[in-house]
Amino acid sequence: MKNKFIILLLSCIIPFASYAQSSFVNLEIADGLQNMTLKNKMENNASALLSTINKAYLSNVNVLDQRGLAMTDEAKIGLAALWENAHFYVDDESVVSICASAGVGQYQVRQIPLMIKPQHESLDEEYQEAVIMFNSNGTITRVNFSIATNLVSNVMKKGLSVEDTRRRQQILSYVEQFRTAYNEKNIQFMEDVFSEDALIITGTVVKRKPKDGGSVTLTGGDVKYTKFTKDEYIAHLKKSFASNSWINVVFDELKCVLHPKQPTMKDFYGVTVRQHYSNSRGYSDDGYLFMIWDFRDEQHPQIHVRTWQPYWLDDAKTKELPKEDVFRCSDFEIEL
Amino acid sequence: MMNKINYIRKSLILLFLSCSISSLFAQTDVKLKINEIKRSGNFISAEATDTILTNAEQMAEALLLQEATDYFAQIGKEADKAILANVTTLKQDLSMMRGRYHRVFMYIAKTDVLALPDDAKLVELPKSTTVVATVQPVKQTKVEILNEIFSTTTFAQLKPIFARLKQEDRLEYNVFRGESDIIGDFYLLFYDKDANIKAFLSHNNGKYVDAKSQKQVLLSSFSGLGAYWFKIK
Repeated sequence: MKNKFIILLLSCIIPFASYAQSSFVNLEIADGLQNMTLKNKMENNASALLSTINKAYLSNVNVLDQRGLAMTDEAKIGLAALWENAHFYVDDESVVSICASAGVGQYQVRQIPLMIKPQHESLDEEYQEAVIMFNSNGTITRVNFSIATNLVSNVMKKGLSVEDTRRRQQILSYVEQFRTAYNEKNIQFMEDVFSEDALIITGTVVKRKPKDGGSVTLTGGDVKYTKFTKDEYIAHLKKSFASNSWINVVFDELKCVLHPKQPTMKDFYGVTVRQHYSNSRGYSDDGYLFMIWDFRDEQHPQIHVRTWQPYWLDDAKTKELPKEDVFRCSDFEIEL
Repeated sequence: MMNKINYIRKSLILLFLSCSISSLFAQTDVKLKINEIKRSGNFISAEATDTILTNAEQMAEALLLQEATDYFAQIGKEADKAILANVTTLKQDLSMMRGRYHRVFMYIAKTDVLALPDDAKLVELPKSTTVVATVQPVKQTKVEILNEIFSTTTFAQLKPIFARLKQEDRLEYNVFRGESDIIGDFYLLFYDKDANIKAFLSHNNGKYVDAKSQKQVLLSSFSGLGAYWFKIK
């Protein structure tokens, strides 16, 4: 009787265990690429990368073994930094996706399903999609945490011309890289992307003490702004990166507009996102991040203005910052 | 007594394991089906994942409508509100869990989308108030109508006939999802992703007969094709 039970139990557990322990991931590009040689290369390279990630997750290793993967050095450094801050795995053994152009000679495969478990923390697993970038040889050039597909779609459909659409594609890629840079704690990317004379403004809600001497409450409507230089901001970021085991940034409500001063500012775009920030020390905030991106040098776009404003004007989260008060391109004068 | 308790305990463990495994295999089935749909290239699809099911559904539907609009643009057609409403009605969905997240996948056959626009527009055409003839046209018989329909080989040929018959209130039709939805006998048409009509079948007393060869056929022979049912009044 006892033996029969054990055999029955094992016959139930074995298929379950073999399913759960599988580390091989196959990525298949179903559409979007006519060049079959390139398609096969991209599929093989991405499958090898995703399988490596799953193997590392199952083995619970602290360093990703990226030897033999067809990735640029930059992509390997970025992924290693990402892995240091959070461990994750691909939630499907078979990922079927489409390939999209990401600029001249660049391709991307989106909606790679990941489950993320922050290291050293006991938080629930978070769902996150990744985007893999490739060059024209099929080599992986970046792995980013992606912004939601509906946000990408909204930005792309507002493209006014082929040029504008191409730029929007580039902006989305940079916004995804910018967002992932927080997870990677990639200070070098931040130093590169901000112009030397960047204007950085951070807003905080002013707390007022009622005249009757009661407890401090937020009355709403008053935001105090502080200006930082690039050096001051980078120093602040370095401190924040060093003192947190992980930082998580999620963007939504993405808006991308061509600078209204045309044609003078034809290479400048205003990007507004709603940013949800949280870190391992328990701090979190929710606000509008506005940036003016300069694409005059397409290979090295720069941010000239970066502002942050709180989304909520009171602790009870009943009063939002009015949409018309959110910074926009026309609020800043850029001398060319 | 102890033996009885042990027996109950073992039974409960097995029951729990079998339930977990059934659920896991059901999830795997959904994953396989989603991948099959994506891989086929015959469908417009979109998906979204969120902790709240309704959020995931709303996001997936918005993305599906965007994909459908893009598909219309690719084939040189304009998607109006009526057509997009039809996409919403005809779409199908699959859902599964990813940890505590709901994954919702929505899809619609490209052939169904292709068949929608002109039908919808033609049906909505305002009726003319000008009398062009005093002699009433001879009403087509059912056999004549069927012969006219069976002579078509593409949607392009069939659409004006369906539109006219619909306007004359001689035709009833819809996407075929299974015979249980349809009362009485009916006809079926099968089409491929390029909107070519592959077969017409008649359904009588639970049997399907090919309209051209008059031979009895099985529905399973037409898997992978889109289908409409229709009835002549």
